[in-house]
Amino acid sequence: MPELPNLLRQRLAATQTGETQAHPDADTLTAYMEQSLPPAESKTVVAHLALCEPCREVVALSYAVMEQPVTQTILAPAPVARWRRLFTPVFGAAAAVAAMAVIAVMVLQLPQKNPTQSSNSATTGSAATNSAVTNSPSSQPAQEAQQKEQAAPVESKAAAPAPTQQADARLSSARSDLTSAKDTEARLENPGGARAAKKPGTEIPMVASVPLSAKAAVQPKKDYVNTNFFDSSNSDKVALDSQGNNLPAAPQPQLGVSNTGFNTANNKITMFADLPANAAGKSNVRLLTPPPPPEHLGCTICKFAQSTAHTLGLHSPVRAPALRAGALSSSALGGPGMFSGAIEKNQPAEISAAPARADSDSFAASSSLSASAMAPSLRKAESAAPTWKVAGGKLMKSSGPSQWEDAYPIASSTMEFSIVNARGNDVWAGGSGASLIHSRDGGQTWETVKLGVNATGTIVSILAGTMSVQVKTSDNQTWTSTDGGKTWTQN
Amino acid sequence: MSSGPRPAEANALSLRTLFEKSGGERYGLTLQAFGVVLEQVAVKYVPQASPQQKLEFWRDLKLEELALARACAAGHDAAWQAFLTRFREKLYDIARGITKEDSSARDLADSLYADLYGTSEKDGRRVSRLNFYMGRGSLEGWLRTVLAQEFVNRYRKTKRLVSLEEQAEEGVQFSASPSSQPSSPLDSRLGASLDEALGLLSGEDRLVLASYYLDDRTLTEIGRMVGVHESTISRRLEKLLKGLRKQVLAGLVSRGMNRVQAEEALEADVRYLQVDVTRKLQENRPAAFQQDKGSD
Repeated sequence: MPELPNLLRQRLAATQTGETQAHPDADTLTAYMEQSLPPAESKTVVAHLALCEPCREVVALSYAVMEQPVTQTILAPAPVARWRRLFTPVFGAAAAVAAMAVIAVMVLQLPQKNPTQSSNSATTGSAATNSAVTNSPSSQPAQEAQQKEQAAPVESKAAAPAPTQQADARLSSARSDLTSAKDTEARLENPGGARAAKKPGTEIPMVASVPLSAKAAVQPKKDYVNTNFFDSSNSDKVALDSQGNNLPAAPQPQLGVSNTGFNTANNKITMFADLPANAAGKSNVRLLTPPPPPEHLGCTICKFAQSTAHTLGLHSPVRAPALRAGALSSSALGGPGMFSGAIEKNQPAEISAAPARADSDSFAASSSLSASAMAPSLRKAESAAPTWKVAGGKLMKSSGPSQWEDAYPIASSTMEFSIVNARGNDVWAGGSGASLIHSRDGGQTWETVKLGVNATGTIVSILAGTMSVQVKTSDNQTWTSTDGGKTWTQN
Repeated sequence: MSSGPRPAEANALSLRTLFEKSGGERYGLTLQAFGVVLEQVAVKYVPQASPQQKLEFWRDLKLEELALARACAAGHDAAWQAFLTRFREKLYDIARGITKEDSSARDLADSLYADLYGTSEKDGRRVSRLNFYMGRGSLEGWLRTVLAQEFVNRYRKTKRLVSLEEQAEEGVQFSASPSSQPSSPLDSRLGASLDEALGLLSGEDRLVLASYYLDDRTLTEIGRMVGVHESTISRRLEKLLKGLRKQVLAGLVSRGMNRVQAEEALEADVRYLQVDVTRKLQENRPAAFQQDKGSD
């Protein structure tokens, strides 16, 4: 309504009274301004002021110069409930002090919950300076590396604490491979940047800088993880468990014993491509034929990608052969004469003395992962070693892929085979009636081996060494020969 | 001091109590003279009141200042000494606050002093303006109001006196003749509707509208005048405009317009309204504030 105020001005001006109406005297106006007039008289004054511009002017001028009364309101204290009297400033300060005390006690008690770790951290804290300067630069920043290892295990390998010179050499080689190791190296050069070491509550023990004897002394009952067991490069370091707890330092392998046991430098564990070669000489490895990989039905993209990979000479990722639990006994990993009792009585209907070639692609891929010098020998050994299996109660031999033939074609024989153990050309096969045959020329000629007179049941296990042979039957009989099967004794 | 009718109906005990409360004895007043003053006040404001109502009315007066003013008007030196001690500086300060200028303020205050002392005589008696103080408000407030009235009267008197040179500068000679005013195409129903809507408003609402739209007072001034906060005045103005527009539209519709025509009439140029604005705005009522003087 843009025009209404203008109209209003005109009509209001038209309704102004002028001289016709008597004005209130100064007393009345003063009493009105001082609000001492009765309500009825005040309304009369207001009504006159609405119509009389000079009186409004007088009132406005008088109000402008009127001294505002200085009033001070004194408020009586309101009644307060008793429980509200507690909320005084003193009460608040006392509550704050109590809360701070509780927090301080919690903070001080937190490191003491694990006295071994706290003492270890204290020890490492004292040794951190020396180790950072002299031996390994990865003493204090190892904590950060450990934390980082949870998110990126590959990265953490570069920051692994290595107390020996060999580990340092591997560490330096790993740095050249992994870009993320540069960051860790930068932190290693700045040991003061280890923030975790400054916080006692969140301190992670710097186990890498502690001598092995000291760690063994302070951690007698702690579980530990020997990460070298799982590390192929032998340059790994202490890892944190899944819960993020600080595990104590695992004993680091010594230089003199690093080549024994499970040192992956021998490529005996992680490379499944070694198994056929080992099986040729050590016949105690039994592996099942890996199942064919599941195909993507109707997935033309995958088929096209596979065909393209074959065309371009690429290989699909390694598919590890299906390994039955317990089939890989310690004798296959250790030296000769190490028997394993892990073979179960209920043998599968088809067992094999050597793994079938998993796949040319996977084999090549696994070979590419192994040392390049091992690949020719592995292929040669695999091609020369025949494969044995028992199928349908018959002993089968394969000299090539998918070429199986009856290895014991004796018509008069009613023997039903149940187990075969091949170790190079030395082949043992057993079956029903505690019958056992032995071939020293890879199955060309066979000789029947007589166990003891009391031998009964079906042979379910054959563990053969160079001269020692152990046979178990389904009747829980164990027969042992230490002269290559000439004489047998029941255990 | 003029003698009035004695408050014969008033209780003599109460009258003495009021006299003692006023302290008029210090300024040379007698009980009888003070009773005459009180009766004069009651006749002016509560002429039909009973003796009891008069007594209650007197109790609400500023008795001490009333006795002082009337003692000054009677010419008692003690009263004048007390008056000058209490109000001399304040009177100059009030004048300075009104005129915003020292010389004008002193001139205004001195002229009021002359009136308070009484420069004119009536029936052989000096007429003092303090005789018009009735004690309903404070003496200081009364002096402030009187100063403001005197200032407004002076302003209006001097505004009407414009020299020929100033008129020429203002361009009065080029102003249009009254006959050249445009004819009024505006419907008279609009003015009637608006007058009707204004008549429905309360006196305070009209005071707010007049102070805001006619006097161009600020919200603070209007709020002080009405006795509410300025934010209340702002909301009230908005509410008043909405209500007025609604009532004007309703009045126009009731007078034969449809809704669209009523909206168009509200948007009409106000210059076409047949209102003698000039005469209304330029009204000067200087004699209005001299009514009391003349009555004395």
